[in-house]
Amino acid sequence: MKRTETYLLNMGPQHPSTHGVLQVKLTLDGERILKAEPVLGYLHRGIEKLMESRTYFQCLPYTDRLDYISSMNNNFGFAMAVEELAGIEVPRRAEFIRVIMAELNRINSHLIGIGTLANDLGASTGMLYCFRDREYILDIFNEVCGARQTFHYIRIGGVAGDFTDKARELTEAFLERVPKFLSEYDQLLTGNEIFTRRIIGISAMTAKEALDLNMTGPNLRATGVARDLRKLDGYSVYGELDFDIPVGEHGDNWDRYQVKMKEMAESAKIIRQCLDKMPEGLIMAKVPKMLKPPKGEVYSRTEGTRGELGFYIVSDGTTKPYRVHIRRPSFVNMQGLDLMCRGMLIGDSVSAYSSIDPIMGEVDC
Amino acid sequence: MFGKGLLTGMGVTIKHFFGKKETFCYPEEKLPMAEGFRGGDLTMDWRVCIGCQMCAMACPNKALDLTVVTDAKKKRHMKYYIHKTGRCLFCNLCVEVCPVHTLQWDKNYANSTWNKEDMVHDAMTDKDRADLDIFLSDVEKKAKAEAEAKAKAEAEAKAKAEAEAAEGKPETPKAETKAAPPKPEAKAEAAKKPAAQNAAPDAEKKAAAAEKKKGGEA
Ligand code: SF4
Ligand code: SF4
Repeated sequence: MKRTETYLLNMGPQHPSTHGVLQVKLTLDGERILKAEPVLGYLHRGIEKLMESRTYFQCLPYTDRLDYISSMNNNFGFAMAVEELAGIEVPRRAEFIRVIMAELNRINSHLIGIGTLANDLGASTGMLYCFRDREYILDIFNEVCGARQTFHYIRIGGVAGDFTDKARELTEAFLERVPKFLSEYDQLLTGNEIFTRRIIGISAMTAKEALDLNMTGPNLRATGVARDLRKLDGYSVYGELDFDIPVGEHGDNWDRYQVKMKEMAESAKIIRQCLDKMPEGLIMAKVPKMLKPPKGEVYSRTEGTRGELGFYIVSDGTTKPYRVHIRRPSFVNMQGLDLMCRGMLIGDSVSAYSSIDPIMGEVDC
Repeated sequence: MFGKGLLTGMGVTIKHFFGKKETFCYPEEKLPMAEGFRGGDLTMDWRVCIGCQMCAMACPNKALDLTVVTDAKKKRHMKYYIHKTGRCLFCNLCVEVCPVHTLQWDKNYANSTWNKEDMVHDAMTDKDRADLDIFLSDVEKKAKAEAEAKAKAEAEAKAKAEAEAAEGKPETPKAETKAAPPKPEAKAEAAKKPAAQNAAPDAEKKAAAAEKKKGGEA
């Protein structure tokens, strides 16, 4: 007697399109996906626990390793949380430098997001172009902090080094490139029929579904919800800056791609304003060598490149945090994978995964 | 028309094919690193280093294993400066905290190894250590000579003073000379001790701490 049955396909943990080590258990009915179950933990390093045995200053380099693509934003989030806990006032110049770095890192991260999406769909050329332009951002980072990854630049109380004239020069030159390369991607990818057919209308999500799953960042904005903590909280100097929040409509892969493309242009706008507004002055507040924040707890959130990045810190009045919990946007956004994959073809699971754009270092923490 | 987008995309690549090259031939050509580039191994000069071990204390991941010796004049010197590159976060905290700014990166970023065990680097070369030994024995000799000279001068002065004070009483200087000699000897011994022994307990303590740490982390 002939019969059909569902079967299980393991994708990963060594699959090239998982950008890290993620295993997805796909329950399949022929080519159609019935269920996608991510299996996490291959990159778990216990960063939250490690932080408990380190001083606040020593914790900072570990945040670099959460979402290793956007280290600046992680540094920013943690530094802000500790500053709130210890009541440290950050000099104005440092705030502007921080915002510039965070936005440069956002562009950097979105470039990788788009590049890998293109690569996973077979357009490797697209990826190389994105990596080419990312190099210019890394040059700026290298200039200000001496590292091209794991920057450890935004510190508690300010930033580690000044924004030099050379860095300004490099940034200006990069800003000039932004519209150029964006239009290049439009020619290369946005208009490419093969690329668009793989992403338009695929893995759509409604705003309600995204909100129910607690998704944030470009993934949520693609569904049409204009929620951005930079606007909502106006933390640091974001309140004084003028920028828009790009939103999508259908919440499909195409919208997620488009939101990222538009956000890059917005970030460039923010950087431009910061360069113009940045005052002279100190870059570091007076922070005691033995930082002992008073007893208490704090939850501080920032808009990371992938959504709401929150640091919850409990202090017991000593030099080391009693407990740190990190709300990692990639981890939460991963919940959407199942919903995005249901009813799609196997090949679409790759594009769904890429368009969520999770970083495994942050998913597993 | 289907395929128009594809052709436009190809136009972009063709333009780049004839345009300016973005890449360079890596092992032959190398990019200059930024001034503050953090990477490679740590270097330091033991002549400048004051052996305060602040760098090891600032390190978040216990990547620095230092052995400090104390010379005859109670000054600390670095003997082994082991930088475990495999554990290093390249966070720059050690470099920033050094009070005499002798700690630097050598910027040699191509420092991958075949084995995990090779991922250690001693910032002190054997030559440095030989120099250090010479320096230490010099200091010891100097200290000994100084101590002797001091004791001698003191004894002489005392003897002279007492002889002057009690002229006519020939027995007292005899008693004085008996009391004086033990001084330099005791001092010289005390000076020898830390130089020879300090290194051992220090290293032992550290090794024990490292063991404990390893156990705790595992
Ligand atoms: S760079 Fe950081 S991790 Fe490496 S040795 Fe220095 S303090 Fe330790
Ligand atoms: S902090 Fe500087 S002076 Fe102190 S032990 Fe380290 S290298 Fe030497």
